[in-house]
Amino acid sequence: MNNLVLVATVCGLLQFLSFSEFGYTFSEKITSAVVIGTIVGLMMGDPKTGLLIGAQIELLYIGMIYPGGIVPADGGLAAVVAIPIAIKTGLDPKAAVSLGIPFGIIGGLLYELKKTINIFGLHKLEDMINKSGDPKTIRKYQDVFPVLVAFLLSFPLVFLSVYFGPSVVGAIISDIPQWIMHGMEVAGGILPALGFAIAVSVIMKRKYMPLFFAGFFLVEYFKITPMGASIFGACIAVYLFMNNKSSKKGKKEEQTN
Amino acid sequence: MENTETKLTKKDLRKTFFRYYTFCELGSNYERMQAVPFAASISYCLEKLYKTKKDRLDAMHRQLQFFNTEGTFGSMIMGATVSMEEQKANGMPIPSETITGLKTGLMGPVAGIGDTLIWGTFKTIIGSLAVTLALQGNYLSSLIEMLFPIVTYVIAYNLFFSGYNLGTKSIKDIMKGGLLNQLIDASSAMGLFMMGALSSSYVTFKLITKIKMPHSDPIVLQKVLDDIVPGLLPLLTIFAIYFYLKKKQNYIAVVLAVLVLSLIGAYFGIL
Repeated sequence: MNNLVLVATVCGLLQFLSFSEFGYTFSEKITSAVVIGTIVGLMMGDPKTGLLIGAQIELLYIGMIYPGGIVPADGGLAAVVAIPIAIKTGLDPKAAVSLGIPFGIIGGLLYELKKTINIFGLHKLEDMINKSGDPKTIRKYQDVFPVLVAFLLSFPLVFLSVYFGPSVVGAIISDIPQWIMHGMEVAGGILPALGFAIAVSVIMKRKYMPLFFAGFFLVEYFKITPMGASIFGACIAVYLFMNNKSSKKGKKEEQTN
Repeated sequence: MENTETKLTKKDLRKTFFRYYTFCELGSNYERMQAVPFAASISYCLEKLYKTKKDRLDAMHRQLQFFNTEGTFGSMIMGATVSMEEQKANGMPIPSETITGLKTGLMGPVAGIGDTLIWGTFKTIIGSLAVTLALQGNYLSSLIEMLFPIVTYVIAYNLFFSGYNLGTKSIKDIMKGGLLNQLIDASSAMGLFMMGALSSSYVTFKLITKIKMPHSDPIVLQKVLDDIVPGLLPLLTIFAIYFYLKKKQNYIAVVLAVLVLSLIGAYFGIL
């Protein structure tokens, strides 16, 4: 009982850190499902299960990147809510993934809400600096208003979901029709496609598109692990890097001759 | 003659960088994106450089203009902007528009570099290594995840100081220069290769429906598809989403569509 209060508080605080984007790249990883799975698992006395559930959830959001600061779906919120509930209720990792999906969507919407509310803060800030004329005002504003917005949009939701979630989920899980559970699992399998589609559109270099298909079918036909694929990928990158260099040098030498 | 030059100390620069990288999205909003975090970070410098209320107000409003980029490589812009403000405060005739122009001119290309190198390639590779280990029950996976913030912090710190020391002209030279382009080119290639490999590993989309035949075994649709091209459905899905996003950047719509289609497919026993 008390332990659940602690877990809910820690999860709420971690989501708050992540949602306020503390430490920029750090905020991305502090609520990554693998890390949350380990932390929450340790607190609840079952790190092994936590880690496995975390890994399943992270699969969904692995390619997800945020071009222009847009958050399509928040894998952090999904992890922070679904992992403790799944450990507490003994939910199957696949079902935990399904449980996380709606929270991932809500998380994406919360980022939009946050950036909309902060518009009002910006105008308030401009009035404030016109009055004070002191650059410190901007820092004082930043330390209060956006922090408060981030806190209110993250901590209460996570705390309540983690605290009351297990009993709610435990009660309704048996009533949920099989096809809904299965449908969420199917969605969990397809959803990574969104992350990869975004990543491809950001990286997009038309001349290297064949490499995308090479990577895809290398795994389809030969079942190489991601670790193995990254070795091949690194070889290609190094080859291109060195080759570009020498071809440029070659051109220069030709010009001087 | 009295020496009135105000120089920024290493401590001012460190404070600026630290606030920038720690809070570079804190207070960002849909009207001017990262303007607030940018202005809050550079405020340490403005406070020291400008003494009169008018100068300070001008500088603050200038730094509160629209700004949006990728944070790690954006540190370079922060460094260069600090150095321009320092020169301006010490009497160089730099108009406000030049500083704003530098920021807005660089933010697009810099975001392109950062999103490709840091997020598209580095983050995804780190994540997939961590997940691979985690699926085997290995706790080192969390440490691997933490390589992402640690390495990017070191990169950002160095880019901030090279932005400050090299000044704006050199940044443009670096951006146009061969080495960085080669690096981007090579890592785009690796990135796309990895995206292909990872989407094959991690996107699962299979039909489970069977067509009953009166006089022979039922036809398993997925097997028919696999015989033509394995992984056809995941591949088609990725490119369907890709082309949709090119037209309309409505991500939530994609997530919801995937969810609804999966539920429908599950209800009718197709997926």
